[in-house]
Amino acid sequence: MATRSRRSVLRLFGEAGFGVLALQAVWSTVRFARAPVSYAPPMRRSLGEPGEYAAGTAVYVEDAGVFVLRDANGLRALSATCTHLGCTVRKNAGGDGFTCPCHGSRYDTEGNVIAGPAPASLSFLSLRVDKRGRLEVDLAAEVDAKQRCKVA
Amino acid sequence: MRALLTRIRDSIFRVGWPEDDRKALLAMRSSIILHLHAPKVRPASLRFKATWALGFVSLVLTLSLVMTGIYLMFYYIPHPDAAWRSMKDLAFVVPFGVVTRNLHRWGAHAMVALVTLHMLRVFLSGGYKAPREANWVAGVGLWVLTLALSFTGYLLPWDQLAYWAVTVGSHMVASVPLIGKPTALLLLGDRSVGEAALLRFYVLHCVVLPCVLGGLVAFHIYRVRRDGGLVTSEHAPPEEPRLVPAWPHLVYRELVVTLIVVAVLLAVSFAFNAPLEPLADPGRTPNPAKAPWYFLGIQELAHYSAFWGGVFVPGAFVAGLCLLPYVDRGEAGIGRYWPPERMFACTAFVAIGLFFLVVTIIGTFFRGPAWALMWWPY
Amino acid sequence: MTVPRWLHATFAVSLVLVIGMIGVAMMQESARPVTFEQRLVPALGVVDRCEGCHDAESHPGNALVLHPVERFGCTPCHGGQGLATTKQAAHERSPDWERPLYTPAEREAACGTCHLGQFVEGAPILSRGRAALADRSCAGCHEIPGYSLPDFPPQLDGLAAKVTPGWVRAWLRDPAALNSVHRMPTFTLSDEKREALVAFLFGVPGAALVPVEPGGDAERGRRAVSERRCATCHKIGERGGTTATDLGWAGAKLSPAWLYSYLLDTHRIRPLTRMPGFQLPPAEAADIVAFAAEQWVPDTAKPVWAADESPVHPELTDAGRTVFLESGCAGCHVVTGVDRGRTSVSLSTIGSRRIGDMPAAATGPLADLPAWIALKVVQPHAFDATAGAPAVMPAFSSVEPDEALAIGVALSSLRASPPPEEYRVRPAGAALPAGETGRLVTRFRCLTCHSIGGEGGSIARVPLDGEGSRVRGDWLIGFLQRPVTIRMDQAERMPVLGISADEAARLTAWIQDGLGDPRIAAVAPPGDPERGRQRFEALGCPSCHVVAGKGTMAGPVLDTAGDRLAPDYVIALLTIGPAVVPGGRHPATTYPPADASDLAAFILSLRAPVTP
Repeated sequence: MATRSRRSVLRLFGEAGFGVLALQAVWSTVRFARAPVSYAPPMRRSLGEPGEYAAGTAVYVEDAGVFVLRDANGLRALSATCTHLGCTVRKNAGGDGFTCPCHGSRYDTEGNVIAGPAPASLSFLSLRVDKRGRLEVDLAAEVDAKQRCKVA
Repeated sequence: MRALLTRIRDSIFRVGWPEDDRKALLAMRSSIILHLHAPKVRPASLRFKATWALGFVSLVLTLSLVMTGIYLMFYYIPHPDAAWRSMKDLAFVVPFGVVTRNLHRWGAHAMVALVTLHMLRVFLSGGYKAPREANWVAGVGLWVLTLALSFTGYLLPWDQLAYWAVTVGSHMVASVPLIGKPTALLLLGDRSVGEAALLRFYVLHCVVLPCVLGGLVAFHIYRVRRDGGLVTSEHAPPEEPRLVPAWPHLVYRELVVTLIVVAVLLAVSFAFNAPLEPLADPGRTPNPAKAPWYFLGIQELAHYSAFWGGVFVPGAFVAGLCLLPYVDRGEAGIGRYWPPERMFACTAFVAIGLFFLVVTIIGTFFRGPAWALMWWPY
Repeated sequence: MTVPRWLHATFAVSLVLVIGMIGVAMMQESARPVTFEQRLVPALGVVDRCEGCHDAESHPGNALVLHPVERFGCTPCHGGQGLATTKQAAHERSPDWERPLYTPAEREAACGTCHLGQFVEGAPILSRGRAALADRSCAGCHEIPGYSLPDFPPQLDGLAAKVTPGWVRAWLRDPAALNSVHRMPTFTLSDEKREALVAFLFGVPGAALVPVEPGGDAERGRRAVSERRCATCHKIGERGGTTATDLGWAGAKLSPAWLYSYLLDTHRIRPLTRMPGFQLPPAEAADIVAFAAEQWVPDTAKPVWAADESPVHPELTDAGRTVFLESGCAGCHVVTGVDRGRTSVSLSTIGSRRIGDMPAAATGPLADLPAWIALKVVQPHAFDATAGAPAVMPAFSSVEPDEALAIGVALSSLRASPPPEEYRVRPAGAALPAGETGRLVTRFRCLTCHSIGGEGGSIARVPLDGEGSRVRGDWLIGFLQRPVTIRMDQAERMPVLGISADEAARLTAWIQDGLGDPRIAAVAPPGDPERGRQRFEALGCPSCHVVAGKGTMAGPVLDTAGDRLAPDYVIALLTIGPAVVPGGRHPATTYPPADASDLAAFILSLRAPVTP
């Protein structure tokens, strides 16, 4: 009886031990495999001098994938990434908004979705002037459509 | 609910916990892992001194190397521009990256040593003789494969150590008359160690050689069982049963050995970091440029003559090992270490082994810049 | 048969050990911060993780404004291991990493990997080293990118008519004993080889000399030397420049006919020299020769080289030619009939060598590659024990330690894998005028002292670029003929080159047309001179400038500034700042336009009294 109970204690210990090992292996594997560092292009991209953008225009900047909109109150950066499935939208020939080439979603000049499968409007992104006086967009930071970057 | 869990468990484990010998035998047959073992084994072959567990530890290391190798493949990029950087990523930013690489590196070194010792053990106990001749040759093949795997893996970090060790090694290959140069070209895919060589070594290391190794290991283990288990002396103590069930006696011992191996490997890998020298620079030969330690005996011999020392002696040694069971066919003294009946064979084999050990030690520790002999360890 | 208890115990212990070790590792990993972002500059191969600890925004100075971190990363300028995430691994040397953080000297060398050309603003050691590479004729023996075979070490044609054999023997033994300002390193030659070299050199004929016209007067000669400002370049006694040779013993060393002919037409005797092409009137030349014979002689009764005087051995001429070529003399010295060429190793990638790969110095470990090179220049034999063979290089014992380090910095910037072309900054180069004006610039050797487009000498502190916008043309024409001293704090003064009125006008036209500064333009109307005078004093200008006898001479005296300076330049200096006068020492203060125009009006009102 004593032998028997000792054996079952040992068995329980062994099974518990291997259970813990299995959990450790899963946790460690997930930690190991999770992306540790980014080799993708940075989220903050330079858009050049503010003076390159004339008032009343929407200029596409390919390096950053944004439209830079300028009006009397300042500058804004509108993401060119369609909210449907991530294609890059194009400015309409008439300048009256944007259209996605993939599935035909249509946006007005303020990026509001007006037709097509897109579930949401295009987002505005954080724009600032850096120490050297150059425009910099942060693709990771969405901002309100009313927020503008003031430049001299 | 409980019934459902029981049903699921029973569908996986057909036999419950093997409390008695009958259930143990059933379990041995039904489990995929367990059925690789013979259901019953001789008690003599369970003794630690019978094998020193060298073959089994080699198997555990092989499996551990496969596992850690797969982990490393998640981050490794086989290109000269990125390989070394991916090593640095493992060292600095990947969680458990350092220890994973250490486990792989130290496991590989240990494997070379243990497979060699395993071969020595089998020789000393006469395990290569009939009916185990073919399995001995398979074992020699596994030993060569182990060296080849280690050598191909050595290049992958693409640091100075890797680059120049492999450059030295491939020149040894190229020094073989007639077939040397074409073989080196086949191996490197270019005139010198570069982009093509790295990719080839990567594919050999991660796909080709492991597949060959897997097949040969299966053959090797299968033949151990088919050829009647381990060689043991017929003079077993009379009070012992002739056979005992493999569960728990063999399987439990294997489990414990596995845990010990993992514990030791982990401890070593936490304590010592694998080296990573500066990025490979074809314009800058380190002085001295040394091959991996297990080839330094050959490099030492190659110092005297590239062909005779670097190719002929090792080649003749491997050929001799393969022919051995078909030449040395005496049946006396099998199953005992260094028996009086096999005094000459064992002494000669150990002498050859010692010779390689001595030249390896000289090459590793007593050769300084320009391969000059040093009187103190370099 | 039962399972032994020790097996159970081993099982339990090893299982606990494995779980424990993995557990400890898991705790360590979860405590480690995750930094997902890193600094990538693909063009330079940069992957830097420095910003995990350091904030690029708080970089001191304007270095990051000129070199944005997105374009340059951190390690190209600072060295170290950018991939590392611990302080020790990132900053220090280890078996895994052999380039620790750059020392200040290595950092300047790093500037030089992109910035080519002699002057690199903000890198004084590098700039000095690049000037020294030319000055010390390093390219005479070594291939160095950007440096051609030097052409100003003396041409050795006609040596027999210039000096005595004893002088040459003593010179070859130890140049420093004969001349405090010399560029020649010390070669270790056997007596036979030296004798052969003398024989060879004395057999090479030179240009015909003119006999000295009698009637030279030493006192008039002394005045001529002073008025011509020979001391700007030449050391004379305890004073004078170090650009050209020490004239202290020139009267004893040089044959009078040679000196006389040289002063009459410098470039006829020696076409390759940094000295301007003087063409002194015969009487003045004779005066200077007389002065030299009287004053430029050793204090002792006989010169030190008198002990070496003995006839040359013409039979050794051929052996001497061999010595000349073997020792590398032909790398620096031009001798008619001898092909020039380099005898030593190329230094074009020396900056890629690691200090750990270099032979160790007998004096102990060295901090970095520049320090190694610096020691090699001064004491080439310091490495003989570890290098295996004695050094062939002559010792440049006259090189000061900081100049040696500067040479080390300049050479360390020569890397095997330089940055991509779009990162390299090349100087504009001196666009010299063609035709007659070009011949004048060459004849007067303007670029020995002045620089244009990053090329030329550094004796004149302010480059000639932009000079056409800074000064008035009428003033410049007068200055070239009769230079006056402007910067009292500078010892070197413009020599009196004997430029004629016609030549001065031609040079002035070139400077005004070709060397203008577009930033200097009319930006403000002239203001009120009286208010300017008050502001001048209130702002503390007299602490550097003298006006009407008040102030200090740290900056130029402004008493005649209105005659000299272009009005637009004065306003530009006060509003744009000292960028319009690179190399000048004006403080980096700018003034509001109102103040600037008043100050300018005051300064421009300062004019010399009109003499009838």
